[in-house]
Amino acid sequence: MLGGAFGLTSNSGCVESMLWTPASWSAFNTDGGYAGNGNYNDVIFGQLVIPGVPPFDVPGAGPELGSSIGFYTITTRVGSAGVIDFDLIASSPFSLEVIDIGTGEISDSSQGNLSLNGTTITCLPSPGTFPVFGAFGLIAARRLRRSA
Amino acid sequence: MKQALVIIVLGAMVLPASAQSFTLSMVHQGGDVDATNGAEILIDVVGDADIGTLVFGFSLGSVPGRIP
Repeated sequence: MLGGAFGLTSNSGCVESMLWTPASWSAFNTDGGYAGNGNYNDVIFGQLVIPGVPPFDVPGAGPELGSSIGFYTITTRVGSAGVIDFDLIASSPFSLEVIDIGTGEISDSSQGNLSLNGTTITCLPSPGTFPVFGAFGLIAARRLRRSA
Repeated sequence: MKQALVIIVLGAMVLPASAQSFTLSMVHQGGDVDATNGAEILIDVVGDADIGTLVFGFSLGSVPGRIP
Protein backbone atom coordinates (compact mmCIF):
# COMPACT_ATOMS: atom_id res chain seq x y z
CA MET A 1 0.00 0.00 0.00
CA LEU A 2 1.44 3.30 -1.03
CA GLY A 3 -1.24 5.61 0.23
CA GLY A 4 -4.77 6.79 -0.05
CA ALA A 5 -7.43 9.25 0.93
CA PHE A 6 -11.05 9.00 1.97
CA GLY A 7 -13.72 10.48 4.16
CA LEU A 8 -16.26 8.82 6.42
CA THR A 9 -19.83 9.93 6.88
CA SER A 10 -22.82 8.74 8.90
CA ASN A 11 -24.97 11.84 9.64
CA SER A 12 -25.77 10.22 12.98
CA GLY A 13 -26.64 12.03 16.16
CA CYS A 14 -25.52 8.94 18.08
CA VAL A 15 -21.89 9.86 17.45
CA GLU A 16 -20.33 12.28 19.88
CA SER A 17 -16.81 12.41 18.50
CA MET A 18 -14.45 10.74 16.06
CA LEU A 19 -10.70 10.66 15.75
CA TRP A 20 -8.49 9.36 12.94
CA THR A 21 -5.10 7.88 13.78
CA PRO A 22 -2.85 7.03 10.83
CA ALA A 23 -0.46 4.10 10.94
CA SER A 24 3.06 4.86 12.12
CA TRP A 25 4.53 4.11 8.69
CA SER A 26 2.49 6.86 7.07
CA ALA A 27 4.82 9.81 6.62
CA PHE A 28 2.45 12.15 4.82
CA ASN A 29 -0.74 12.70 6.72
CA THR A 30 -3.54 15.16 6.34
CA ASP A 31 -6.40 15.04 8.81
CA GLY A 32 -9.49 17.04 7.95
CA GLY A 33 -10.85 16.40 11.43
CA TYR A 34 -14.24 15.61 12.84
CA ALA A 35 -17.00 17.43 11.01
CA GLY A 36 -19.72 16.74 13.57
CA ASN A 37 -22.88 14.68 13.28
CA GLY A 38 -20.91 11.47 12.80
CA ASN A 39 -19.00 12.71 9.77
CA TYR A 40 -15.25 12.91 9.27
CA ASN A 41 -13.51 15.06 6.68
CA ASP A 42 -10.95 13.61 4.29
CA VAL A 43 -7.85 11.98 5.65
CA ILE A 44 -4.74 11.37 3.55
CA PHE A 45 -2.08 8.81 4.36
CA GLY A 46 0.96 7.58 2.49
CA GLN A 47 4.69 7.41 2.13
CA LEU A 48 7.15 8.97 -0.26
CA VAL A 49 8.30 6.85 -3.19
CA ILE A 50 10.19 8.34 -6.13
CA PRO A 51 10.49 5.83 -8.97
CA GLY A 52 14.01 5.59 -10.38
CA VAL A 53 15.63 7.53 -7.55
CA PRO A 54 17.32 5.16 -5.07
CA PRO A 55 16.78 4.71 -2.21
CA PHE A 56 13.43 6.44 -2.52
CA ASP A 57 12.24 4.07 -5.24
CA VAL A 58 11.50 1.30 -2.73
CA PRO A 59 8.64 1.66 -0.25
CA GLY A 60 9.71 1.69 3.36
CA ALA A 61 8.71 -0.93 5.87
CA GLY A 62 5.30 -0.74 7.42
CA PRO A 63 2.50 -0.94 4.86
CA GLU A 64 3.04 -4.60 4.07
CA LEU A 65 0.20 -7.04 3.96
CA GLY A 66 -1.43 -7.41 7.33
CA SER A 67 -0.33 -4.01 8.52
CA SER A 68 -2.58 -1.25 9.70
CA ILE A 69 -3.18 1.82 7.59
CA GLY A 70 -4.97 3.64 10.38
CA PHE A 71 -8.08 3.59 12.50
CA TYR A 72 -11.04 5.70 13.55
CA THR A 73 -11.93 5.90 17.21
CA ILE A 74 -15.64 6.65 17.52
CA THR A 75 -17.35 7.68 20.73
CA THR A 76 -21.11 7.48 20.99
CA ARG A 77 -23.34 9.68 23.12
CA VAL A 78 -24.27 8.23 26.47
CA GLY A 79 -27.70 6.65 26.30
CA SER A 80 -28.01 7.13 22.57
CA ALA A 81 -29.80 4.53 20.54
CA GLY A 82 -30.13 4.09 16.85
CA VAL A 83 -28.46 2.90 13.70
CA ILE A 84 -25.21 4.38 12.48
CA ASP A 85 -24.63 3.96 8.76
CA PHE A 86 -20.99 4.65 8.00
CA ASP A 87 -20.11 5.30 4.39
CA LEU A 88 -16.62 5.70 3.04
CA ILE A 89 -16.35 8.64 0.71
CA ALA A 90 -14.00 8.61 -2.25
CA SER A 91 -11.41 11.32 -2.47
CA SER A 92 -9.91 13.16 -5.42
CA PRO A 93 -7.79 12.47 -7.40
CA PHE A 94 -7.81 8.91 -6.02
CA SER A 95 -8.65 6.93 -2.91
CA LEU A 96 -6.08 4.14 -2.94
CA GLU A 97 -2.66 3.89 -4.51
CA VAL A 98 -0.31 0.93 -4.83
CA ILE A 99 3.14 0.31 -6.28
CA ASP A 100 4.46 -2.71 -8.11
CA ILE A 101 7.81 -3.17 -6.36
CA GLY A 102 9.00 -5.29 -9.26
CA THR A 103 8.59 -2.63 -11.92
CA GLY A 104 8.11 0.49 -9.83
CA GLU A 105 4.85 1.12 -11.62
CA ILE A 106 2.36 3.06 -9.54
CA SER A 107 -1.36 2.50 -9.95
CA ASP A 108 -4.30 4.13 -8.27
CA SER A 109 -8.03 3.73 -8.05
CA SER A 110 -8.74 6.50 -10.54
CA GLN A 111 -7.56 4.19 -13.29
CA GLY A 112 -10.69 2.11 -13.12
CA ASN A 113 -13.97 1.79 -11.32
CA LEU A 114 -14.06 2.73 -7.66
CA SER A 115 -16.95 1.74 -5.45
CA LEU A 116 -17.04 2.57 -1.76
CA ASN A 117 -19.81 1.69 0.63
CA GLY A 118 -19.66 1.25 4.36
CA THR A 119 -21.03 -0.48 7.40
CA THR A 120 -24.01 -0.35 9.71
CA ILE A 121 -23.73 -0.39 13.46
CA THR A 122 -26.70 -0.49 15.80
CA CYS A 123 -26.28 1.42 19.04
CA LEU A 124 -28.21 0.19 22.03
CA PRO A 125 -28.84 2.38 25.06
CA SER A 126 -26.90 1.30 28.09
CA PRO A 127 -28.87 -0.97 30.46
CA GLY A 128 -29.20 1.85 32.98
CA THR A 129 -31.24 3.92 30.57
CA PHE A 130 -33.96 1.32 30.08
CA PRO A 131 -35.54 2.00 33.51
CA VAL A 132 -35.52 5.72 32.65
CA PHE A 133 -37.34 5.09 29.40
CA GLY A 134 -39.76 2.87 31.29
CA ALA A 135 -40.47 5.57 33.86
CA PHE A 136 -41.14 8.14 31.13
CA GLY A 137 -43.45 5.65 29.47
CA LEU A 138 -45.47 5.13 32.68
CA ILE A 139 -45.75 8.88 33.27
CA ALA A 140 -46.88 9.45 29.69
CA ALA A 141 -49.44 6.66 29.96
CA ARG A 142 -50.90 8.10 33.18
CA ARG A 143 -51.20 11.55 31.61
CA LEU A 144 -52.95 10.10 28.60
CA ARG A 145 -55.45 8.26 30.83
CA ARG A 146 -56.14 11.43 32.84
CA SER A 147 -56.72 13.54 29.76
CA ALA A 148 -59.01 10.93 28.19
CA MET B 1 -6.13 -1.42 -19.79
CA LYS B 2 -5.85 -1.21 -16.03
CA GLN B 3 -8.94 -1.70 -14.01
CA ALA B 4 -9.24 -0.71 -10.40
CA LEU B 5 -12.16 -1.89 -8.40
CA VAL B 6 -13.07 -1.62 -4.77
CA ILE B 7 -15.67 -4.00 -3.47
CA ILE B 8 -17.05 -3.59 0.00
CA VAL B 9 -18.93 -6.29 1.81
CA LEU B 10 -21.55 -4.66 3.97
CA GLY B 11 -22.31 -5.97 7.39
CA ALA B 12 -24.64 -5.10 10.19
CA MET B 13 -23.45 -5.17 13.76
CA VAL B 14 -24.81 -4.34 17.14
CA LEU B 15 -22.64 -2.23 19.36
CA PRO B 16 -22.66 -3.73 22.85
CA ALA B 17 -24.67 -1.64 25.23
CA SER B 18 -21.68 -1.34 27.51
CA ALA B 19 -19.51 0.12 24.76
CA GLN B 20 -19.44 3.87 24.38
CA SER B 21 -16.54 3.88 21.99
CA PHE B 22 -15.32 1.57 19.31
CA THR B 23 -12.69 1.46 16.62
CA LEU B 24 -12.90 1.11 12.88
CA SER B 25 -9.46 -0.25 12.15
CA MET B 26 -8.28 -0.49 8.57
CA VAL B 27 -5.73 -3.18 7.88
CA HIS B 28 -3.98 -3.90 4.61
CA GLN B 29 -4.84 -7.51 3.95
CA GLY B 30 -4.23 -7.70 0.23
CA GLY B 31 -2.66 -10.34 -1.89
CA ASP B 32 -0.87 -10.14 -5.20
CA VAL B 33 -2.17 -7.60 -7.62
CA ASP B 34 -2.68 -9.26 -10.94
CA ALA B 35 -5.46 -10.45 -13.16
CA THR B 36 -6.64 -13.11 -10.75
CA ASN B 37 -5.73 -11.74 -7.36
CA GLY B 38 -6.43 -8.46 -5.74
CA ALA B 39 -5.24 -6.36 -2.90
CA GLU B 40 -7.68 -6.12 -0.07
CA ILE B 41 -8.18 -3.80 2.82
CA LEU B 42 -9.90 -5.33 5.78
CA ILE B 43 -11.98 -3.21 8.09
CA ASP B 44 -12.06 -4.74 11.51
CA VAL B 45 -14.64 -3.25 13.81
CA VAL B 46 -13.63 -3.57 17.41
CA GLY B 47 -15.38 -2.20 20.45
CA ASP B 48 -14.99 -3.23 24.05
CA ALA B 49 -15.22 -6.70 22.55
CA ASP B 50 -14.99 -7.84 18.97
CA ILE B 51 -18.29 -7.04 17.36
CA GLY B 52 -17.64 -7.91 13.79
CA THR B 53 -15.39 -7.82 10.79
CA LEU B 54 -15.92 -6.24 7.43
CA VAL B 55 -13.87 -6.75 4.34
CA PHE B 56 -13.56 -4.65 1.28
CA GLY B 57 -11.31 -5.49 -1.56
CA PHE B 58 -9.26 -3.34 -3.86
CA SER B 59 -8.11 -4.96 -7.04
CA LEU B 60 -6.13 -3.81 -10.00
CA GLY B 61 -6.83 -6.22 -12.79
CA SER B 62 -4.12 -6.78 -15.38
CA VAL B 63 -1.44 -5.13 -13.26
CA PRO B 64 1.31 -7.71 -12.72
CA GLY B 65 3.49 -8.02 -9.66
CA ARG B 66 2.62 -7.47 -6.07
CA ILE B 67 2.16 -4.60 -3.73
CA PRO B 68 4.38 -4.30 -0.69
